[in-house]
Amino acid sequence: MKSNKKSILRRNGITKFLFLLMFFCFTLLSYGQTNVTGKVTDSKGETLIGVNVIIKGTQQGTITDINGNFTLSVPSANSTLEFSYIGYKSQDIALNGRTTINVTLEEDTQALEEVVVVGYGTQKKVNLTGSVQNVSSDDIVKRNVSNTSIALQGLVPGVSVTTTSGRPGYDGGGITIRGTGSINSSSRPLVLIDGVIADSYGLNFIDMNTIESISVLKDAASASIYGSRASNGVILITTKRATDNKLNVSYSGYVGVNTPTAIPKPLSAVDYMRSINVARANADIGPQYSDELINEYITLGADNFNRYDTNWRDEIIRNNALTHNNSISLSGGSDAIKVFANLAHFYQDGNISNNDYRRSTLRLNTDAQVTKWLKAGIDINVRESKSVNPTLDSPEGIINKATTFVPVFSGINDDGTWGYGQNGDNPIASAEASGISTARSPELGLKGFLQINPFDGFEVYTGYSHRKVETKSDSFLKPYDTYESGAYKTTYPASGTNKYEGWSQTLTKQFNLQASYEKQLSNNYFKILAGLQTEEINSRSFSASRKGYEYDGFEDLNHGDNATATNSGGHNDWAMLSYFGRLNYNYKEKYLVELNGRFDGSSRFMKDERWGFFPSASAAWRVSEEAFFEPIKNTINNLKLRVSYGVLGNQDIFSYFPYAATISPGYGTWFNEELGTGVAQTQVANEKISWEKSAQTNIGLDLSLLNSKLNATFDYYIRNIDDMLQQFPIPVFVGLSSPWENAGSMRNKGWDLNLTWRDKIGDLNYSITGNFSDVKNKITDLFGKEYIGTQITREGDPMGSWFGYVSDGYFQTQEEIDSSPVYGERENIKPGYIKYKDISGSEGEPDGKIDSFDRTIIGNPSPRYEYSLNLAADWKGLDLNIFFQGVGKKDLHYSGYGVRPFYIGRSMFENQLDYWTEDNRDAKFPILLIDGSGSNPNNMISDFWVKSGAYLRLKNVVLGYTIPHKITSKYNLSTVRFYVSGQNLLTFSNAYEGYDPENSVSSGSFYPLMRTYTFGLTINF
Amino acid sequence: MKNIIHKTVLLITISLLVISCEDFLDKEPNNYSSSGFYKSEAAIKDGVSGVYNSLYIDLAYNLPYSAMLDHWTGLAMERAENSTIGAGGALTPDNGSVLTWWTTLYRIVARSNSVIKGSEPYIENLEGLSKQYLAEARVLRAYAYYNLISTYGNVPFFTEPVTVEQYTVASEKKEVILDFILSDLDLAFADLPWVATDRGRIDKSFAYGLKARAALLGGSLNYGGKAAEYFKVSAEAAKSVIGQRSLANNFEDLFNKAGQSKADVRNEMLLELMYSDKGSKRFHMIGFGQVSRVYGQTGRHPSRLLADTYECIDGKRIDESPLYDPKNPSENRDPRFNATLWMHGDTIRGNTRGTDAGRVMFIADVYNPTTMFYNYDTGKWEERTNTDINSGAAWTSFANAGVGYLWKKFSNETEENISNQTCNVPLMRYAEVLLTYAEAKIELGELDNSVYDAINQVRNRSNMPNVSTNRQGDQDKMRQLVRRERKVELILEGLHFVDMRRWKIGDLENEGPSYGYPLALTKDKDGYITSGGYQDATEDMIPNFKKTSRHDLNDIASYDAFKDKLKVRDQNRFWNDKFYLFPIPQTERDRNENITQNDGY
Repeated sequence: MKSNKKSILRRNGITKFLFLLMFFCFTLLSYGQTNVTGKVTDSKGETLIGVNVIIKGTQQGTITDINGNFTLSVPSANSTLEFSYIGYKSQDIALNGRTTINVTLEEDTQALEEVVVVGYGTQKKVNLTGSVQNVSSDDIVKRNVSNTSIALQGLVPGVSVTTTSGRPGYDGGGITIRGTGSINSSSRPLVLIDGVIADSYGLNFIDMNTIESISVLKDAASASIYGSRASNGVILITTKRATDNKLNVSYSGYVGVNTPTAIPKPLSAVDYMRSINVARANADIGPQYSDELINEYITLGADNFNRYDTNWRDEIIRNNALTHNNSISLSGGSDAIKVFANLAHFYQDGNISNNDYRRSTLRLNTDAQVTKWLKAGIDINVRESKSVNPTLDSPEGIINKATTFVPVFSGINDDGTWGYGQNGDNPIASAEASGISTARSPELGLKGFLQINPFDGFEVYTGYSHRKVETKSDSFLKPYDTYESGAYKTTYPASGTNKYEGWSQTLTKQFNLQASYEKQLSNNYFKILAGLQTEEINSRSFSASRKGYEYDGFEDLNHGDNATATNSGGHNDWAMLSYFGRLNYNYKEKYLVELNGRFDGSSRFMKDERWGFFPSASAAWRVSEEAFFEPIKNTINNLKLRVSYGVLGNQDIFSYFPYAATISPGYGTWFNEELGTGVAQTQVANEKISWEKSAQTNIGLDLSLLNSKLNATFDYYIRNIDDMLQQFPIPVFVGLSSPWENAGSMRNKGWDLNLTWRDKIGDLNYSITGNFSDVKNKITDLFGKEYIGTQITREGDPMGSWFGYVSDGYFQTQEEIDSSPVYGERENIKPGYIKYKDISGSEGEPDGKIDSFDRTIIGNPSPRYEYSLNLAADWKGLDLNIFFQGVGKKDLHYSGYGVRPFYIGRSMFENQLDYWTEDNRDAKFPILLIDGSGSNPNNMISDFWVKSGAYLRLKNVVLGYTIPHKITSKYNLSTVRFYVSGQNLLTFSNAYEGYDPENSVSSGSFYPLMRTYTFGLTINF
Repeated sequence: MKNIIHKTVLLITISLLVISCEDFLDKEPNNYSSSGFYKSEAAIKDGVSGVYNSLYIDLAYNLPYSAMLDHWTGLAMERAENSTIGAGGALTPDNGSVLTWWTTLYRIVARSNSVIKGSEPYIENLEGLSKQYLAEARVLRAYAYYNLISTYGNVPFFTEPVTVEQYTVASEKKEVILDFILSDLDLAFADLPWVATDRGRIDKSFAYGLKARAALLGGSLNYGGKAAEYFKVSAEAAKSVIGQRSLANNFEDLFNKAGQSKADVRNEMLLELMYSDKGSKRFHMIGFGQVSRVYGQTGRHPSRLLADTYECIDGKRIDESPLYDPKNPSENRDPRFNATLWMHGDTIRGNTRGTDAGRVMFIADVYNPTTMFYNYDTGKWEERTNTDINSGAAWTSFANAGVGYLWKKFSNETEENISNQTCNVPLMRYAEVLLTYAEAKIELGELDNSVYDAINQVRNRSNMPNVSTNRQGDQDKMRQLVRRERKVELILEGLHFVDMRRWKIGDLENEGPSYGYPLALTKDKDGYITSGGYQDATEDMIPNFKKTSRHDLNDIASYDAFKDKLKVRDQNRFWNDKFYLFPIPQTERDRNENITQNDGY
């Protein structure tokens, strides 16, 4: 026992206590017929204490003692034992009659040996010095959402994904990493798929079952190897490849139903007529609808001939829409050649007629071992997606009208003909009968690569990719006839039939050549990487149209009237040339240093401004590897401190030649009724234009506690964005739009925190993951200028803050109006109007007038305090995943049709009946007014129309069941799992009634977000 | 092993050499470079076309701006109650139309400046019609500045592309800009023909006409205390055009597609905003937006103030003529009344499709839920729902949102689809030049035969009698007549917007509600009129034009005596003298604080 005591002393007190307790239990339990004994060690030969040893298929078991030994009585000499230990991979061992078994458990690489994909290579997770977060394919696939960007929501702290629309094919989330990175340039991260630059929506076009992992490079140190395009962070997607020779076939699919989360409820005809009469009375105008008519509606109801009570919302918006995804993968091969292949099809129906999206994808990743030192590969990616929409109006426009159109307008007549709607505009007919507009996007991506390893540690990689993305649009506008009270009214739209076909193509050619060498010299490790990349983008487009189609069903361009033919076309080319390098050094994996640099040239700038250098440096110290840390290493298993600094660029400014003053064609006029050619310069040019730059400092901490059950990663960063490319508002009288300039700075300061607890209780494995982050934006320098609109961007405040008047309740009496400052003419103001605060004036102080000087910041549309919580558990084949996601602070501004009663000839929502009257002075909405063009002062931008966009929602729940192996194996199936899942099941928020807090509504044109219920199946053969 | 290394190094080296070639990054823009562009006739022609292109100023959806401008006076109104800007509506620095008008006019200035300045280095060697095109750009620039000073008063002023240093300039005095307009037009005359070969292009007639129009503004508003000088310039410029062009034979021909194809109409049109039904069509929606609900919509309405301005056929005002009958106000009137307006009882013809199937013909009715329609299939009249009175949108009709009058001008279209019209829109007619000549001469007190002749030409074309002898020689009476003529001849062509400001009659036109047709007194249970309305209108329901001498001079009718019997609109209509100038758009002042706001805003 003496030697035992020695080893106990090496552990700390808690373990000692636990051990003694367990040892005691073990002694009591170890009584049986056949005894099996053995020893469990780790890969270095050290004994493992407290390892679970269970007889498979039973609840019986034991744990290893202080020497790693165990004794267990088993019912049969052919039992199988299951060894499991936190931080190590579980192992099943069949006894096969043996009574002594020595087991070596492998450390679970996910904890320590995990390799993550970084720019132009991979790195051991423990050796990372920058801020890189990895997302596994499981985390994404289980969300059952339509695309990868939505699936990323809430998974990575500091990565903000906003889902603003539920329109099929257009529902991808907007991704920003560590706050908005630019005022006018792109703020979207750079996305690469297997090292090939994709467009920023590219991640929405791949089947999630083909994704092996996603790496998010958040700080400058990890991203700067992508230089001028990495300012907004980088997302690296790695697709699956065949890893062994065994043939693996798997099927994964689901079917589901999409239901809008929230849509406002419109008024009935009677409520509408009464309300509009109230609004007219408030403007001293007689009633629009007589009491007799309203009574007729009440007593006789609508007959859809003389009296209409159209519920546009119910006629247009369907509550349930189908969605499904089917994906088959196979992988395998030989030592010489291995193939991974995936074929997938996704379909999503819309919630209005003639609106859906489908996507078919094929991916083939091939690896060949040509010789011992030469590897080669060919990857093929084929996609065809197709979205269908009604031609006349966008789905958002139709839904806007569905929620706001006046109910007494005719929708569908009693004889089945289309009603006259609003001057012929009938959104039901627009959705169902105005023709169909389709957009097909075929994509073909080809990539070939060679990897040469001439000698140990030296690797040369070269690859060439050619990606062709096309968009073929095809739309036919078919006007519909409208009738009212039995009489033909008009054919809408009056412009007649129109066929449009458009084609655009973007070719992206990327060449990469890089070499790396790594060497371990005793305790010193070096790796050096150098490479170059070229990229050339050629895009071209043309389109044509004709009108005047006389014969139904003949919709080719040739069938139209030649006299109405139009066509157009053009092209754009640009290119980049880049050199990059990286140096890694570490000493005993304890002190780690990394240097990155990239030298980028872009054709978008003048020769003198073309080249930019983007360096970074980072270092880390694994404190837990120090000798002095040894005493607490069992509690704190890993502690790493990281620090990094780097400079990044941004050149994506929506213009290919911002430096050149150009004169564009397309400004002709109609002399003698014939359209001739004409040109105009429309923008001021700036020859000095160059990169936007951002410098980011990051301080981070990685921590593992309690046998790696608790993992924490914390990062604090300051991101300074300088030389921002922007167009200062220039006076309107210049007659041209503003030039781009490199001027102005802003700062994003924030922190990201990830906490994971992973443990098991008996057969119950569970984990809890929390992500928390915040980023605060502040404009630090705009050269004294301001961008003012509904939003303001000015020094000292967050970018794009809502800007307007401050409301102060309603005017309750005429005396109050007479004695208060008002906006515009006092004659126009009545009790029930919104009262505004006189906070300043032309002299900088209140002046008794409400005018533009009284505008101030009334909210911030950028999300703050984003968080998510994921609970995952599995127990005996059952698995459950519950995912909450939320935003702590955000301000939404609603305007126009979205929130204002009777806005330009429209109706209003039921919840807006809570309007100001003398008997309802505390109403939610001001006095009812016939809104017109927005000239009444209630419509001005003010905090009255700003609401909190904070929310907490139950984003996702998945409940699955895996059929026991002993049943599935009878059918030669390796895994069969069923699951049900729900999206957006519960929401807590204070947004406007009737609207989803995540939905981008603003002026009422929106596509609702979806609550989705799915049933899915995964089979591995 | 060495072999592999050598090959690898070679591969890298070759690749680096191939790639690092700088040319790889030299890509050409797909648009023309602006430096040295305007050195050929073709380039200048295209550049000037780009200036014309910006003339389609969109103050309301697909509506030529000239038709919109007159709705901001008391002679017309917009559909929404009290919304007509400058008269009850919100004429504020934040108003969108105030900004659009400003923005587009300066776009014309900028595009003109860039062609004029850009071609300067090559001016000696320019060939062909280059100089004519450049002269057109000069006139277009003058036209934009005329609209700017007449609307906003003092404004920023540039004759070359604006430089960064000029972003903070203050406004220039309107008098200085007017003098520039006049002198710059003088530079353009020599290079322009009297009648442009291309329809839609500026010619010498328009340039002189614009000079007359601009100088008349300076005269009326007494710019720099030099009223007489400006009237003189105006009269002389107008006189240069007289004889060069002629009036169309038929007034109505000027405002529809079929009429505009006639040579006499072409000759009266000094400048048109061009529309087309060929190839890349260009259409407008004036008609659709101002006709009866029965086959279009009604967004803009004429006021009764305008209707009552038309003389009777005997040449006398309605309060003075024995021919005026309040029961049948459209009878025995200046033919331009029935060419410009439709009212209760009129037979309206139109087309909703541009084909025979789209023809409509019906009787306009402001009282009853049904009215008579012509059935083109059976050739018979039949009774159908009157959607101006009895439909969900009837509240926007000429009977409800208007005061009983419809615009016939530009809407009297039976061949083309009413919502896809392609008739051209006059920006200047010879008739205006004649009246401008007369007005300038009258203001100068030079009442000679040339004045009477100019006015008579316009009146006689519409079968109205000559200037009566009792007016001749009386400056006030002549002033009254020429103002009346400008209203009835030119309304809806964007000129009254400025005339109301020149004559300072905003207060008279907008002093109260807008009154209209006589109301029904009783209706039966089905909503049909049984008494009141036009059928029971009495002699005492003739408006009073003599409330004050200013009312009399400017033909402003007062309905106070019987207003309770009339349809009323714009209850809260009011006037403030600050409306004579539009406010400078807030957006512009946000960007350049050195531009001072106009008084009162």
